[in-house]
Parts: sequence; C-alpha cells; structure tokens
Amino acid sequence: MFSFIRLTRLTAIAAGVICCCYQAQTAFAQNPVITHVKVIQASTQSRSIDPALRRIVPELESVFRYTGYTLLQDKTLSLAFQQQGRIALPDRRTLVLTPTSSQGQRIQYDIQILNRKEAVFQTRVLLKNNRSMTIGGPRSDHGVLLFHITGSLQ
Amino acid sequence: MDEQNLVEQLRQGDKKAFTVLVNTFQKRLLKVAYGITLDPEESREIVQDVFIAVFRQIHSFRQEAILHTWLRKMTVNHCLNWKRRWKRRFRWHHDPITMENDPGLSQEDSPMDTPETLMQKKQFRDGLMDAVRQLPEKTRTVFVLYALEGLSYEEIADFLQIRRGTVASRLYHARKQVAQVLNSKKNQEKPV
Amino acid sequence: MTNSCGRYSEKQISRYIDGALSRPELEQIRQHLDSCSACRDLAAQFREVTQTFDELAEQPGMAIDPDRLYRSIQQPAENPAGPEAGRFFRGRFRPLLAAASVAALLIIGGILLMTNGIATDSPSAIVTSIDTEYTAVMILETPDTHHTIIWYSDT
Repeated sequence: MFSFIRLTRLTAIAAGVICCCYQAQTAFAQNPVITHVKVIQASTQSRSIDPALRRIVPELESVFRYTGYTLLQDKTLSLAFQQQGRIALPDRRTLVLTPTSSQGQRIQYDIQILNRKEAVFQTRVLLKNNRSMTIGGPRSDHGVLLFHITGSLQ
Repeated sequence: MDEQNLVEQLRQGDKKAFTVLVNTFQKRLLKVAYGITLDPEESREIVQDVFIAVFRQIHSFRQEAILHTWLRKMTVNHCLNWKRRWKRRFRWHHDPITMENDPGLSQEDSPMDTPETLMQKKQFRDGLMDAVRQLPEKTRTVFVLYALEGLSYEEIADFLQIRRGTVASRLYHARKQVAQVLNSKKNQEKPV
Repeated sequence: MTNSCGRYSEKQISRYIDGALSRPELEQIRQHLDSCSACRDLAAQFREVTQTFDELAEQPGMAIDPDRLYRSIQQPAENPAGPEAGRFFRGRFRPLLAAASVAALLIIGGILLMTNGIATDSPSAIVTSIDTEYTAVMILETPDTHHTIIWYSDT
C-alpha cells in the first residue's frame, strides 16, 4: 500500500513536469521555426537512390513508382513567423515558404512555387511539429521534382 | 468436386476445398481485376481478398446462386472500392508507360519472331493498354465484363445496375477510343 | 476515326459485332459488309481490340498460392498474442504496475487532448487551401505513416 502511495505521488510530479514543458513550448512559439527542405528529383530513368535519402525514400515509394531519387538540394531555413524563405529550383523556379503562425502542435505555412516571377502554385498547410510533408509534380529533365519539407518549432 | 460439394466443404472450413476454389477461379478473376485496375500487384491483392472474404462469408452464400457470379461480383466491387480507386488514379498519374513490372513480351510470342516483329507486337500491346488506361473507369468496367467475361448486354446491365442502352454506348466508346489510339499510333509509325 | 461509309454508323457496327440488333438488321449489315470494305475494316478492328485486350489481360506469371493464402487466414486465430503477454502483470507487482499504467495512460491522454488528438492517425499536414492554375492537383497520405503529399501536374 505504501508503494502505491509513493507511485501515485511520483506520477503526479511527472504529470506536473510534462504540463510545465507543454506550457513552456507554447511560450516559445514566437521563436524561429526551423524548416528543412530537401529538393529531390525522382525519375524512372535511373535506379539509384541517393544515400542521403535512404530514410525517406521507403515512405515515398509507398505511393510513387519512381525508381531513382536524387537529392538536388538540402536546405535548412531558420525563420520567424511571417518571414519568407526562398529556395531557387531548377528551370528558374523558386520555392517560397512562410511560416505564418502555430496552432496547437502544428505550424501554419504558406507555400508558393514561382515560375520565373509568376506564382504557379500556392497552398496553405498546417504541418505537424517535427513532421514532414511532400509537394511534388513539377517536371524537370526526365523526372519530377519533390519538395520534402520538415518543420520544427524551437 | 461439383459446386454444391465445394460450397459444403468450404462451409466446414476444409483446406482442400479452399485449394480447389482458388485453383478453379483465380485465373479468370485475376484477369477481371487486372482489366479494371491495370496493376498486376493490386489485382493479386484484390483477388486474394476476395478468396478470403468468400471463405469467411460462405455461410451467407445462397445455394441456388452460381459461385463464379458471386466471386466476380465481389472482385468488381473490390476493384471499384473508392480507396483503391483513388490510390490507383494517383499512381497512374505518376506511372510512366514502362514500369518495373512491365510484363514485356508475352508467352504467346512465337520463337520464330524477329526482334523487329517482337518490338512491333510489344508496341501494339503497350498502345492498346495505354488506350484502355485512358478510358473512364465506368467504361472500362463494361468493356472488361464484355471482353473478358463474355457477358451479354443484359447481364452487364443487370450486374452494374445500368440500362442496356448505356452498356451499348459505353462499349462502343471503349472500342472507338481504343481503336482511335491504335490508329494514330499506326499512322505515326508510317514512314514519311 | 470515322466510318467513311455513310450507310451505317460506327455505333451500329459496334452493336452488330455484339449481335445486339434485331435479326433483320443483323442480316442487312452482314450483307453490306460483303460489299463495303470500310465497314468490314471497322468491324475487324473492333473485334481485334476486344480480342487483344482479352489476351493482354492475362498476366504471365501472376498466380495465387492457395496453401499460403489458407495459412494467412488461419494465422490470426492460432496466434492471438505473444506468449509473454499474459505473464507481464503477474506476481506481487501486478496491482502496482496496473495502477502505474492507468496513470500513465491518463497523463498521455490528457496531453494528446491538449495538443491535437491522436498523433499517429492524423495526417502530417492539413491542407487548408490550394490555389493553382493547374487542374490536376491531388492530396493524399502514405498508408502507414500518414505523410501528406500534395501533387500537381505542370504539364
């Protein structure tokens, strides 16, 4: 019985610590958002998988049927909310990412793809903290471009 | 083993009966599933699911019905399941014409064929399957039931709960569209 | 592709090869085919399309192994849980561990409710808007990890 009381007390302390951490995390929400972007070229012309993509390719392969994945760029952007991050892409295209707010455990991003200066695609997403998403489709050489985006709140 | 016996044995969970069931019907069902999905792996998954479902639901099978009709109905329904459809549609969008599971040249190719004729045959098949892939799914399903299962207009109408005129019209569009693609391909291949 | 013969439409030829016309109509078209090469070619082409599709739908080497499938049906029933599963909560620690588990579950559940629901089942990204001049846009997620993918075609 004594052990049970001690265990309950320990559990209550642990719960308190976790709740404090949660509050602290929301308080930090104004700090920069770290965004990792991998620009990948996927194609059926090659059969090689870039070693740097080994971890994420199996996930992509559950949907895509490309046989080759090449990492073209790997960028990390440290952005404040409402601050634009720009990544130059092949064929005079640009990927523009703007974290606009955080909602619970999700980061809201405005994402644009520009062709020269014209926005050809734009979306607003709520990306789960420390998770990734992929935008794909633009043609490039003999394949397509995929943008693997991971967002983390600091 | 006649059908009545087979159903009876299946109801008792008999392994031999299950083997007979799979061996008897798999070829036809795989063809139907492939005709609709145009994806060998997915067709295999679908037909396996159908056999499992049949084995589990055999108690609900009415003895006066025909087993193959029931299996065919399940296969088509599985193929047209919206989740599978959506995934397939997406995959196709990404699917270049040559896939790693491209069957290439079929077993029917004669050993006397030259590489040139084999290539021509392959191009014709690729062209035809491309054209079939471009058909709307509803049209393709009618085409599959007619071309692969040999069902009549009435049977297809009954099966898909559509009118006989709709069957005729979808079948005509399927043929026309496929023939059109093949024609343009043939014309392109003609030397200028 | 159009039928250069003005007498019968492609649709009628399609119905003819299916035998889906009245008996007199079928007979008339049959006689017409003897003299009209355009309709004859069309009928032959329609038949070829059906026949070739029938041949191609048979995928070589695609077969289901009934034994393996039967085993997969039987497996869940024979092996409902690991052998260790029942042993875990035995002995004098049982009530303590059970209470600790309940407390842990309550804490985790509370945190999840405070944040955004069960993490593993929701998509990695929720798409709230898309604006593009291209019509082919698709949103999907990977089956196991719920990784969100937005795909658009720029061709």
